[in-house]
Amino acid sequence: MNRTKIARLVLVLGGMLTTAAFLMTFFWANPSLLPDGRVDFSQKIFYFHVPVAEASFLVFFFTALYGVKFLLTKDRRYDMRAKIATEVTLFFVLLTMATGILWTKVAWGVWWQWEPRLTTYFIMTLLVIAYFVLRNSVEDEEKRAVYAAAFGILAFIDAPISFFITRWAESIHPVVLAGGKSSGLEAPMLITFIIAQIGMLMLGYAFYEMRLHEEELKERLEALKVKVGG
Amino acid sequence: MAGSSWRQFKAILRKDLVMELRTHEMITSMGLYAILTMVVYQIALTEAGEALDVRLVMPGLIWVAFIFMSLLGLNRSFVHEKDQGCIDALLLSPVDRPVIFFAKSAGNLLFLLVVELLSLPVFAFLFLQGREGITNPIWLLGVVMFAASVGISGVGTLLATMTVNTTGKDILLAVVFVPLMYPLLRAAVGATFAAIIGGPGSVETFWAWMTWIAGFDVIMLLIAFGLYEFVIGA
Amino acid sequence: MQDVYSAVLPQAPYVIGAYGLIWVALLGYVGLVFSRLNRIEKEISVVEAAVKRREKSES
Repeated sequence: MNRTKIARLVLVLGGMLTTAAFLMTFFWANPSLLPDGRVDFSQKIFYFHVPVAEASFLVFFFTALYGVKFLLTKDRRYDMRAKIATEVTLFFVLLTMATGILWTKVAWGVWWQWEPRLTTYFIMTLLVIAYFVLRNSVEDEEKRAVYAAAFGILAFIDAPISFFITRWAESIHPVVLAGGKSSGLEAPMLITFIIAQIGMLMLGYAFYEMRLHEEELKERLEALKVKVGG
Repeated sequence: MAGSSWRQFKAILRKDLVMELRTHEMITSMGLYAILTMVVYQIALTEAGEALDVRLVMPGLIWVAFIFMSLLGLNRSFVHEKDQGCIDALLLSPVDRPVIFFAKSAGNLLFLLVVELLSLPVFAFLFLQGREGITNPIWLLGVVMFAASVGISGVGTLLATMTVNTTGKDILLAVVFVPLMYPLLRAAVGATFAAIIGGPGSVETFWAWMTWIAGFDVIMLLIAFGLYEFVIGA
Repeated sequence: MQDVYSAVLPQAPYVIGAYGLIWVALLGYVGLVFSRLNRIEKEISVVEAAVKRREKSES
């Protein structure tokens, strides 16, 4: 079975898992309660906001990883992989931002708050965008690849900072998955979350492979066109 | 080998210094830029008038000035190298790549520190007269400025080496540089605030922020140093 | 009972908004990439046929 077929299988599986988690969110996971005992419906956003956010951190790691691999081998394929990983990161980051802002409005009463987690994540968004701005302004192909790899590695530093900042600094952003007693998720909630998380990671992988396949086909097409033209 | 590296380092640094002493271009443009920033601050703060304690926003204001000033300087220092074919000559000569990185960073650090030292008293003169003085020892301020400037010029040197070869040069440097510098700037503003405003526990807070700055400096400089060879070779 | 669920209705638009957005975005992304893939595959088969024709006429 080749990579593309595996990717399509993973895409279907990921789609099924996220759909299952979506249904479980509303029909199975027990509701979270506000301090005054009323049902906190906005907590439902958690089941997809967090998986997308975790996925964005993880996919961003591949930008740095393929950046390192590119610099060590100078193999153009790694540059393409790093670029596609960053593209998927951007997609996930924007989704995280959008769902997060909706939740913030309900829970904190404002759309935006300059709070350590939000701030560092916003910086990460800017870095991901800057990655593409940088790519677009270098004409020489080799230079573009090297610069993008270097910047991708530097930019990734912000991901662990953003991830751990709620543990280091005073932050009002909830830390649900801190482990131990404070994790505060009952079994149905935790299971729903884990399924959504696995599904989202599968989707991330599938998106990445599909885009990679597309780029490879594009290259094949270019090569064929040269053949016809010459 | 170590001896020759040191000589190469000094030679590149001296080149930058001699050029600066002849043209005064970097210091003048960066200094003027700092003063212009203060004029803009005056506009920004004017309606708040006496109600606003400038000391509370001063740490932020000076670091905003410094970061944009450093952008200007970093960009300048590489535009020269490129326009006059200096980088190509350097690459052709048997100079170790890391030496180029350290020498250029040291030069940028030096210019940045000079302009920072010149502009701080001007800032105090323009904005802080009649305000409460600084209770903590003033050398704390020097420590933050030095440590943060090391990070700024180190990472900035790497990034400016890249962006000088791009179509959008100075704009692009800002786009890639400012978000990367965020953790450092945040810590620098925190440390500067603790140093200036004082109060109980401020020295502990100061050193807590300083560990952030030191950590950032070490990690980022190591990475920048490791990446420089690839970037300049491209 | 009514009281326990009183926070649900005002919060609902945001929750629905968040979920709607995620689903539209994910499906849209998959759709976009697949449509582009199809187009490229079609183009490749056309060009490949052209290459074959040329090779035949040359031989």
